[in-house]
Amino acid sequence: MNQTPENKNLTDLKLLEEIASGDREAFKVIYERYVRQIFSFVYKITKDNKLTEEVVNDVMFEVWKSANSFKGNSAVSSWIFGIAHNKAMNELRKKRPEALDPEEFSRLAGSEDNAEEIIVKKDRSERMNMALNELTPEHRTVLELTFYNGMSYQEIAEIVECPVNTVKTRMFYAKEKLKESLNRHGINQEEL
Amino acid sequence: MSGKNLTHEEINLLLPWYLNGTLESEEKEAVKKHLSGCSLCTSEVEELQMLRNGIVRASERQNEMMSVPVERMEQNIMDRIETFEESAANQRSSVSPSSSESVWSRIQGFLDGISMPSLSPVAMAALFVIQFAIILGLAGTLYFSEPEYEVLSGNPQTAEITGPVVMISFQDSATEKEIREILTSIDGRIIDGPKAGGLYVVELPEETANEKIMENVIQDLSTNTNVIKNVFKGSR
Repeated sequence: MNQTPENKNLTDLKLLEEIASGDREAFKVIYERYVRQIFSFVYKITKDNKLTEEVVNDVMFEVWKSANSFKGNSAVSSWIFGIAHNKAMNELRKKRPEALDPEEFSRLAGSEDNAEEIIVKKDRSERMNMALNELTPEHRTVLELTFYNGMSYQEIAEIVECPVNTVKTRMFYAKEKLKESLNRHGINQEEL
Repeated sequence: MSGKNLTHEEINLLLPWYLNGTLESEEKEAVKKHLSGCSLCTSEVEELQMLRNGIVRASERQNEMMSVPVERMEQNIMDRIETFEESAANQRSSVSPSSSESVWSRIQGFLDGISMPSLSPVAMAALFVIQFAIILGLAGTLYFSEPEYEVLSGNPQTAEITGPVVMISFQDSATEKEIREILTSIDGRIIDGPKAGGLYVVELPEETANEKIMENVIQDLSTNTNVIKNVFKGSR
C-alpha cells in the first residue's frame, strides 16, 4: 500500500488492519495522524521534551506491534491515547515518584521562584498553562481530554483505565483545583 | 425523548461532557431539561465554558511553542520497526523444521520417550495414599500458618485528622494500582487502618465536608464494587 491521498482518507480501523498485516505505509499514515496529538498529550504529563520523544516512540512502536491484538471494543484513538497515558504515567513514576502524591506535586509545581512576577509578564494562555501545570497529572489529563481533545467520559475511562464514576468525580476535583490555582495567581476566570 | 431521570448532583457531574457535546442523547436531554429550571447548573455551565476556552487557548499556545521533530521521530520509529522485523524474520528462519509439528505431537513424543515401568495395583494404591497425604499436609500448612501480607498504609498508625473522613474496606482482589487510582480520584489519603473488618480511615479534602458532596463521593465509591467492599461516612 502506498501513502496515496486515498490511503490518507482511510479510517483508523482500516489502517490498523493494514498495519496488522505488516503494511508500513499504513503505519506512516496513522503516525502522521496522531504524532502531534500524542506528543502534546504526553508532554502535558511529563513536561519534558526528551522524555516525551522517547515515550511517543514507544507508543508508536506498541501500535505497530499490537495492531493485530486490537479488539475494536473502543475507538482506535482511545486505544492509542490509552497506550500513551499508560506509558507516560509509568515514565513519570520512574522519574519522579513524588508525582504520585498530589499534595507534594502541587507544592513542587507551585514553588517556582518569583512566580507572581513572572505571571504579570505572561499572556493569559501562558498564565493558564501555569495554573494547569500545578495540577496533578491525573487532574490535568481529565481536563485536557474533555475540553481539548473533546472526549466522552466513557472514552476517558478507557484511556486512564478507571471506572466512569471515577472520571466524573476526578473532573469535579480537577476543576475545583484549577479554580483554586487560578485564584491563587490572581487570574479572573472571565479573563480566560 | 424525555431523557433519563437524574438527580441534580448526577446532572452536575455530567456538565463538562454536555459542554463538549459527547453525552448520549438520553443524558443530553436530561441535562437540557434540568438546565431550564436550575440557575446553579446554568451558571456552572457558563463557568465551565470559560475554563474550557482557557484550556483550549493554553493548549493551542503550548502546541505553537512546542516544536515536534516529526521527521526525525518518524525516521527513528521506522528504523526501530525495521530492526524488530529483521530480528523476528531471523528468528523464524532459524527455527528447526521439527518445530512445525503441533504442540500435542511434541508432548506425545516427549511422553513416548519416557520409559514407565508397569506398576502393580498395590503399588498404584500406595502411590495414591502418599499423594493424598502430601496434599493434606500442604492444605494444613496454608490454613493454620500466619498469613503473610502487607497493608497499603504501612504499619498501623494514627494521624491527626483535619478533614472529613470515610471508612473504606477494599475487595481482596483489588490491586494496589486500583486502590491508588481510587484514592487519587477523591484526593483521599489513608490515615489509619486496617481496623476490624479491614476498614481503612481515609481523609478527604476540606471541601467534601459539605453534606451533598460527601454523599456524592460515597455514592460514587460504592458503585465501584470491583475495588471497594464497603464505604461509609466516618467521624473524626
